[in-house]
Amino acid sequence: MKQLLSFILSLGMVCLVASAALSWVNQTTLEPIEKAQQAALEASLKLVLPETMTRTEEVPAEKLGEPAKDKQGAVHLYQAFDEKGTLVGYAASAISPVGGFKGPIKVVAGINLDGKIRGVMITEHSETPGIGTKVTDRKSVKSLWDVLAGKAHEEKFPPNEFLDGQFNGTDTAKGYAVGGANGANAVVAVSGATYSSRSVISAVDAIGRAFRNFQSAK
Amino acid sequence: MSLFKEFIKGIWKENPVLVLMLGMCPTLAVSSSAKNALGMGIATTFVLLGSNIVISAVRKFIPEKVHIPCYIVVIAAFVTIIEKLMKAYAPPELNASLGIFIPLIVVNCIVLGRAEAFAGKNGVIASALDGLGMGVGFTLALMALGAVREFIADGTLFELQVVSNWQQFVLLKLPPGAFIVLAVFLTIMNVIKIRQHAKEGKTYTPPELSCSSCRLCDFAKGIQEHQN
Repeated sequence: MKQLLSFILSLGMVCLVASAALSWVNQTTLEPIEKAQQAALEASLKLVLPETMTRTEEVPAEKLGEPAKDKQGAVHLYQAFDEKGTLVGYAASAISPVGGFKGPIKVVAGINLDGKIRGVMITEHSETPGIGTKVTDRKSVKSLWDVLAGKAHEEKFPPNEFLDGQFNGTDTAKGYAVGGANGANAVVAVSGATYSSRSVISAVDAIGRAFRNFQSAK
Repeated sequence: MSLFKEFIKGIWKENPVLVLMLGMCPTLAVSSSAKNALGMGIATTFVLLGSNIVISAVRKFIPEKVHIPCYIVVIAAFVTIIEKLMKAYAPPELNASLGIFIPLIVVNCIVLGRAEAFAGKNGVIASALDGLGMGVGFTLALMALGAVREFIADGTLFELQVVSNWQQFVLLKLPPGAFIVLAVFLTIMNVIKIRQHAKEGKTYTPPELSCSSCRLCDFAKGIQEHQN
């Protein structure tokens, strides 16, 4: 009995100290984590919006039509303004309703004032490197020798054949589907990366639908 | 001098990945590129250092029978702390690629293994140096694996192109590539050791691959005996 008590006491003490330390760390990092996430989102929005953009404003979710029941497929739409406060474009982020090969994909898209896609980028995914990443990654290739010689320059928005070729300039109002059923924009999936392509397409389609609802509600 | 030995042994003589064969899960998962390997190595080193210090400091107050749960709590606390810190201050792309592996450090054999085999029996300073050495050894082994895999797969190092027009070899970026490269590394380690022993006129027999420094199995046996 006495032994049991010492077990409980020592393990309890360790747990108590550990949880005290954790709650302190949680408290102190709460704000920096939020800031880091906000900064990451803003950085990605900046990449798909016109350079004149100086601030963004989120559109309330109820203006985007029926709210998504779960987290997947939820769309956030942002209006972008320039210095003088004139609207220069829209940007939206969405988690793909249809999962990729290894889980949902997070997509950010810039939309021009006329409703055409300006650029699409993937902010989060867990696709297979070298296969699924063909449709998700925008990676600039910098040469080690250039960096050593000081000749390298940072490419902020490197091209991706699938994302640029399939979406840029397409009309969001029509929606997106592989093969283009029901008059939707026809998107060609990358062979070998069908699941990843479908997932990206579903996310852009969700963004298109939300944007359409927002436009018609205005 | 002996303290320095505690530090240095983790890098070569008792390298956690290449000699003790501990922590294979993160080794295989995160060594797909040199950059990820470096991030994972630093995170694990921090956890090892912290948990070794705390565990060796409290080792005399913890009854033998509950020491494993206590160690796990300490390790889990340190892992959660580093996860929060990384989310707050590390570059976002490192977070994105390491995110799911950080919580897994809790069950990394190296951390619990060192707590069991070393920190639970030695003083604070020796344990700190042991943790640091093991962490550095882990990081170096992971980075060597990561660099080889990344180079053969993409012709890049730390995401910088070394050779242009490299024919992509995706296999090495995928899990099977980790096994292949690790096997080659272990072969090289053994060849070096066989040569060294031959020079001294001895024959080298590779250590039997048991969980010699982990002892979790002994603990499990203890429970079984207790139940019987």
